[in-house]
Amino acid sequence: MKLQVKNLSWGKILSGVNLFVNKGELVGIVGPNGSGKSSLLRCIYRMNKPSTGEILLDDLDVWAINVKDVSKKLAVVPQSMPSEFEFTVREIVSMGRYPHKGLIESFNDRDNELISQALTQVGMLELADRNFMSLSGGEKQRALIARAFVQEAEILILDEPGNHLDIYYQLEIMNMISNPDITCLTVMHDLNLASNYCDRLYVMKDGEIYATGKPAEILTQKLIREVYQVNAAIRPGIFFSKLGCC
Amino acid sequence: MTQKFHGGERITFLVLILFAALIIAITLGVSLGSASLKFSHVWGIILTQDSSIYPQNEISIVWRIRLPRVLLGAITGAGLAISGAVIQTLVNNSLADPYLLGISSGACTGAVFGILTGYINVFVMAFFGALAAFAGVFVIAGYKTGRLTPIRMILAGLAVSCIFNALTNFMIYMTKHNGAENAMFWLMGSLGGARFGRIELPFMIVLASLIVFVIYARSLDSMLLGEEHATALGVDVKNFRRLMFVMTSILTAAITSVSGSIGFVGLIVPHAVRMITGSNHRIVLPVSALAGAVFLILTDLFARTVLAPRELPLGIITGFTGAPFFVWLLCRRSQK
Repeated sequence: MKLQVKNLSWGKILSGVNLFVNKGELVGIVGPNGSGKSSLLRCIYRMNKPSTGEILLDDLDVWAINVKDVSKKLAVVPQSMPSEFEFTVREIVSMGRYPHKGLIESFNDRDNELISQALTQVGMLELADRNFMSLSGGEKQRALIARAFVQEAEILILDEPGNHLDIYYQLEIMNMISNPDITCLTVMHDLNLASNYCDRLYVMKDGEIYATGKPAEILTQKLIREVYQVNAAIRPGIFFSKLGCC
Repeated sequence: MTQKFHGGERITFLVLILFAALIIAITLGVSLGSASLKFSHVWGIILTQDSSIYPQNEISIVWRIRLPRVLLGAITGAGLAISGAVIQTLVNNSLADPYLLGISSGACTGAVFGILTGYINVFVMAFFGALAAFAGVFVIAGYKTGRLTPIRMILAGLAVSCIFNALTNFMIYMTKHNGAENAMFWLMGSLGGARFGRIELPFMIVLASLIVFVIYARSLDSMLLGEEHATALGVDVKNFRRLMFVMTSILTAAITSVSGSIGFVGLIVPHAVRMITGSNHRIVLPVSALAGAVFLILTDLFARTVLAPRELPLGIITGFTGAPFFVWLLCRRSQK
């Protein structure tokens, strides 16, 4: 499965965006606040209807197939945190199976297995019966990521997955999504993490793609100054490493 | 809030209690009134109608007056509760219900218009009234331009219900006869018009809506997380919302055109139910229907016995119980 965005514009926010994600790649989108990163993702998962341009999954335009079919191919962790309800963590995670189920089809053993597996993967199995609203920001984020895993989609779309997470879980999540079996497009704020984990980066500025390429090639002092108006020192190497891995 | 348990046993237990409560409420509702019947006669008369065992006047009280009224109470209560639950989910606003958003008022205006013009079907007019009210709330709350914040929606609902209530009053007063009494019926709700022949249509519509809503329970679950999450989980939000608005309008119209607009049931019941069962719509909707039925039968029983022989409009009692609850919800929100 390959995701392709061709010449996408949306209102005054995005113009002429081209982007692709090959199977197995981890591709990051970075850029300052208001540069259009989230708007771009929202176009891809059908929240914003593009003014012009196409979004293709292999050769299918996501706007030409129905939402349910899109959700079988794209799993999304939006930035907005849901609130005001009484769902348990397990109930939230199990919603990731909804796209695969008929209206009244019940869950089978495999569904339940996938749910438990994903909960284990994000370290939330023990909290499975807790009320989602009672969780900390990081725990909520991990539950939503588990929901995306359960969706078994071919492409994972994350909007700042590191948000609310401490360094341990940020690395944990990055390790999970950099798995070559997973194709992932993610918006990131942390340039260190982005350059360490992403195969390729798109740098956005004012609704356009400002630069693209391998992190080491494009994240230069010059680019960071031009895009973020920040003087940065660039040093190669890993900034953090998790105990027992890396 | 620490541990949260939505276990199966707890829900089964709740459903059993509610069923028992429903049987008791029906028994009380049929038995008590200006001429009280023995509890032991109630079910005998309902099940057998045997005039060789039971006095003819009791049979006719049960079948002509009390039973249809109790059944309409159950139907109305169930309908209000499920429409409240669904509307709260659709607009992502725990302060919403058909009454507070003015949907009931719109349906009333339609129904009264239908009655006065005579030849137009009352229920169909109530449906258009409800749809118009929905549209009004969305336009006023700034659906297209701004964010649909809970407080804006409530204010928009207030405006819409004021407009429609004024229209209803105007139409009733222009017809002159019994103006005040009639207005009271529509604006505060009453089960006084219950008789067999009028309660079948609302019954079927409440049942059909419950089935449709339960079938779409998963989409409703996803909607509760917000539009972005719902889209990510494969719900076509725009079309789904449209479908659900039409369904809740039909439901509200069906209830309102026989019982008038009754406030707060749709707010209180689903909230109380969710506190016990969690938010899963497959459970919340049927349990709310049961709880709403019990609640309204008992409310009506209270309304017609507490100051007997005078009968209080239902809205007075649901207002007394519901408004403080609404205030409590409002305070709880502002603390967050």
